[in-house]
Amino acid sequence: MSDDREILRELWNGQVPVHFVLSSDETSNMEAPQPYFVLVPRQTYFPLCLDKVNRHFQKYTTQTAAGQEIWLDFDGTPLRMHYPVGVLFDLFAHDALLPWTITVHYSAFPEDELIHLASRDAMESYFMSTLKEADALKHKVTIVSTMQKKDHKQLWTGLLNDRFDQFWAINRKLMEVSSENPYFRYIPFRVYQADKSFIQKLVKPVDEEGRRQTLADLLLQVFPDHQNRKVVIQGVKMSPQTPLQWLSEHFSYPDNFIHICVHEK
Amino acid sequence: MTTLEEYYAAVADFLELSERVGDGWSRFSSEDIRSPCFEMIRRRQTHSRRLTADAPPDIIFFDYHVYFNEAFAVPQLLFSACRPDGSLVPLTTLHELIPKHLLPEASERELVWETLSQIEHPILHCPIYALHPCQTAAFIRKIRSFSKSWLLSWLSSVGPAVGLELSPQYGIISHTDNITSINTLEHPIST
Repeated sequence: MSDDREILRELWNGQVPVHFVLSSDETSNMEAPQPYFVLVPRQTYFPLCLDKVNRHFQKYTTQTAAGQEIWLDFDGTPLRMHYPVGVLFDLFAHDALLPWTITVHYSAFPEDELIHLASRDAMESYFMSTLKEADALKHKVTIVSTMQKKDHKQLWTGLLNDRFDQFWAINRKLMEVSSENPYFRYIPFRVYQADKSFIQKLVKPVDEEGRRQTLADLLLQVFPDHQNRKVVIQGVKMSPQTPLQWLSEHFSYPDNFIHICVHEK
Repeated sequence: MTTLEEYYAAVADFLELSERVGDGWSRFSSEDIRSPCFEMIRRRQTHSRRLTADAPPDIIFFDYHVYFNEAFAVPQLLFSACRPDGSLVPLTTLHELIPKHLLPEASERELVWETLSQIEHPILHCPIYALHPCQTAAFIRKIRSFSKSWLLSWLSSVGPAVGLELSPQYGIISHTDNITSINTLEHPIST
């Protein structure tokens, strides 16, 4: 995978422009809140980069909203902040006007739709458990369980502090394959469509005859109807002929899943 | 590792026992489930306790789900916990409810987070609390070396950590030689 290492860095550096506005339900009528513009890294999660947004809007909010858990919506849809920022962008804003306008809320947290991620502990726990799941799919004997605690921490802090080298120094071990065993057991992936729940299945990187499986093979297992769909991964419109093993090694998010956004044509 | 077929067979056996005990475990079925259904079973339970003798009772409605986690190839216990007004019981409260004897001594804050957290339900896609499945495979392997009713043994071992009660009737009804004491095993939620 060393040949294509530049791709990893390019994807890591990807950012999306966001225009945060405060929901009209939250404002005290003293003064009209100023919007907040920021570039958000694709690989991170919203709860990890809202501290400044929060500080900015707190001065405009009503008394009751102060101190409440922040949540976001786009066009009336609450954003599942446990999906990476890039996934939410590809899913909801792929053809929206830029910057992407997101509404900030403090009251009426939709508990039946969103996970509570206000504390760093909650976000870290969610991230690490997703990463462990990907590891269990890829390897019969999991790698994460053989790592030291400090390696787990380095994965997390690498993501948290946006440090590519720090993260990949450990993540490399989760992505490595050998010449005698060049494939993962299963490919960790989830397929997303707007207004629908994500789909996750067991898919191998090679078929029974040892032929390399491609993105087209994966999509056929998820959507047997052969309909033509636009497929976006990490903001890139992906060729159906891309081999799954290569995709998993290079286009996974930090949680080690390939998050595939699919749009009806 | 457990195969899906082994899990199906264990669920069938468990539901048969549950019917005789009469504690309400049932298969979950829903028309709008799009993902493959890994034979989810569920049971509702009301938990009531008084912190002090004259305090009003603290009531929690639990809804327990067991499904087959394909990635780890093990059953997984999920649950929701609500107050009578419909609000969610916060995770920090549930962390406090884990009986201390089920956690290793000097249990760190981190360990609790690695054990129990909120996730997106793998089948229903709503928020749900989940016991992490990474230690389950090793535990089930040990149980299966002596217990035929391994799903019951597993559930009765991990359940009490999150308020799930299983009647002693299970032990009386099923053959006593199937359910050996599991006290000698390392507990699955301790790492």
